[in-house]
Amino acid sequence: MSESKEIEYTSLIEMHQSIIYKVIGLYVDDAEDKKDMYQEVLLQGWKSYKKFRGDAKFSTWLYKIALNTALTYRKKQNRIITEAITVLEAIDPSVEKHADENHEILFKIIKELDAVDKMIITLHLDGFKNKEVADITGINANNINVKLYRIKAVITERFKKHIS
Amino acid sequence: MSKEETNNINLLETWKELSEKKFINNPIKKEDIMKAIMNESHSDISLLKKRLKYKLFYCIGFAILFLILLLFNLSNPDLTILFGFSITAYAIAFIPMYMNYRKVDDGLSQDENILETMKRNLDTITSVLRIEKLWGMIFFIPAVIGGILLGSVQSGMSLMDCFSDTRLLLTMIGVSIVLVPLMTWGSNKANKKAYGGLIENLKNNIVRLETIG
Repeated sequence: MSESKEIEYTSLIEMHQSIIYKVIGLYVDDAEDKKDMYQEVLLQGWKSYKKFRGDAKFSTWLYKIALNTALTYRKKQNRIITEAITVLEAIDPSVEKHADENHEILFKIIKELDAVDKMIITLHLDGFKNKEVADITGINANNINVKLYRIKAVITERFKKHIS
Repeated sequence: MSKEETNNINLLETWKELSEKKFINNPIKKEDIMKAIMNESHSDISLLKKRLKYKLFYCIGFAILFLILLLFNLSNPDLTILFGFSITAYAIAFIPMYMNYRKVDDGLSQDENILETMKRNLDTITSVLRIEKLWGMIFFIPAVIGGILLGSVQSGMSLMDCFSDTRLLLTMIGVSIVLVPLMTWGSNKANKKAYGGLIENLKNNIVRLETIG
């Protein structure tokens, strides 16, 4: 791909970086896994960018890439850490900013949900409409409301437990 | 936040605040993005594609080797048949593997949703593993039988003599009977260890996404 494409891609990533951090934070714990997944999301994004036509929102597209990477990611115990990955230490996604206690509780509860529920609720909370959630995930749009209702009930219940 | 407010948590509001506090102001540098995208992918699909590429090279390498041997032994019809058979076996293994190799793509199309991508990935992984198993059989069995026959032909026997020699035939059948299940068992075990978890995970997520309601 051309240099202008590279510039375009890096600028778009810079603008939407919080999506990558959010997905990584929700799906993996280990610092090395975070770096590995971070690199994988950027790589998968770059490989797929040539197919990105620009008629959809970049944030939707990046969410799709990040979630797809997270859902198919395997923690690799015997992974060989390449030199290039260590370069990423400077921007370790595990260094997330500390939010207040309620925020941390909510984040922890969502993180503990299963991979699919976590994906649906994150997209919903980030403002995606049911139709968009369906387009990103492949779930039948008619069923999303019911599912969301159940996930929210679980979250609220767990939140109350944590507080009490 | 009061106790009552926290009990009735406004998810949207809290998530918005959380996102702003937790994930913003954590800048990614352009150089780091460039470094990341210049690296090799560690995704399972990419690794499978790499494995397929190496097997294609093996096929080409051995086919060339047998072609050279064939050209040097054109005067011996038995060896010509033997090497010709080996070249054909590698060509048969090469074609579906190459077609599979071309199909393997770990990128994501804009029109494809996560469910479709997962289904495609599952299909790719299982078909690559299937093709690798076939490759193993085509690669090893003719190699062993060919080795036995080559030894006999070089010691002065004709191919017809070899196939009418009961002891030699039994050796070839015996070796094949031991080798095929052993290889199938070994490759199944290795693949289950390497990909069993991922395949299971993909299948579960696909079922979960399809049955949500």
